Amino acid sequence: MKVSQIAGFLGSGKTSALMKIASRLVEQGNRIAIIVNDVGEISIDSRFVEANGLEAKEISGGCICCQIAGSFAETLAKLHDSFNPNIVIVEPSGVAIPWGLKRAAEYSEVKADMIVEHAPVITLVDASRIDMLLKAVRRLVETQIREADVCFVNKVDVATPQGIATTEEFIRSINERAEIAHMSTTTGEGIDLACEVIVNRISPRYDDSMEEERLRSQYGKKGGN
Amino acid sequence: MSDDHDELHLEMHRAIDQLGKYAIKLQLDFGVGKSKSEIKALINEVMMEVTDRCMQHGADVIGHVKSFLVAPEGNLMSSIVEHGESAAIKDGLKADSLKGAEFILHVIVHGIWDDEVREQTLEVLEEVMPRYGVSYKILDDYYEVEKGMDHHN
Repeated sequence: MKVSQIAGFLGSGKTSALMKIASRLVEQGNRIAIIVNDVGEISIDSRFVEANGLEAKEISGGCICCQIAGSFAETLAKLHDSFNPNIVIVEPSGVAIPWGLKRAAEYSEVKADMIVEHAPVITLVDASRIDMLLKAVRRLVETQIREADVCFVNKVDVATPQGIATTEEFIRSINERAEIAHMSTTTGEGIDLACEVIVNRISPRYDDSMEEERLRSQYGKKGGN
Repeated sequence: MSDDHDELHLEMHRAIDQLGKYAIKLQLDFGVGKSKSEIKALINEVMMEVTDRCMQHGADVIGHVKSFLVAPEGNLMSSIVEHGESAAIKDGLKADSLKGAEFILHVIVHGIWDDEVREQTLEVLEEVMPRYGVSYKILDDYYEVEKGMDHHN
């Protein structure tokens, strides 16, 4: 079972992207399950997803990458045993850490007879308000980009060329290895690429030593800033 | 997991506590009926006003202001992520007018705390709803629940 996560700060367009991507993948014949984890107890995003004719499992009460990792793993295991999707798309809370979610997903292997495979981590970055985000919540945005395999510069239909350029430059400055692409759920740009990334590519499993090395190389010192 | 990871993880998640969160569920009574366009205007005004009040009272970034109106005739999903912008409303309503509906409003902003978000939201509801001739009952106030989401302290 492949687990795909679509990360990004609040308001980056995760829910809209997820609905477009999931619908496209269903059209292509995939069995898709969706897990939504909002910041708060009230998962309004899962209501949005279900109102679009997609089935969503809502996990609330904390962050799935740590606080309620057990619930997340349990949900994955139950999905495997009941619906047996080939792809589970996870919309984390907007403050989740991608490697934490990978690790949590792998917990499910002890709860069901399955092997978890990770799709590349997709992070959406809102190019239409990049300046404000960098000013106020830079640390959060940075961490989600740092963990991404593919970064989509989102809302390119409404962002200025300068906003798009700033976003690309920012992504490149903190994650040289990430593939950068554009997305707009309004025009549909980037949706096919996101589907291709999820279906055909694989991201490494959680590896403590690899993450350790990444921390060192990106922060310049062990575990610090 | 290593200490380095623990440290980063903790730091990352402490950031969540800088977010002011509030959610409320209402039963809206439209009397003899409100047209879809009036309902959309009401939703837009409530959401824009909540966004504006939060920014005026210290928020510096809108996480999101989202709402979900649901009735047997369908739903309206609305979202604002930028101060000063109108709500993007996705229309899943099959009827042209409604007599009532459930309405969930969820606000996440950066820079102010949950109690301030709640206060501003409730004030906006008290001011805007009567202007549209809409009465409402609070079905759930999620203040305590949302406040309890602070963690990793």
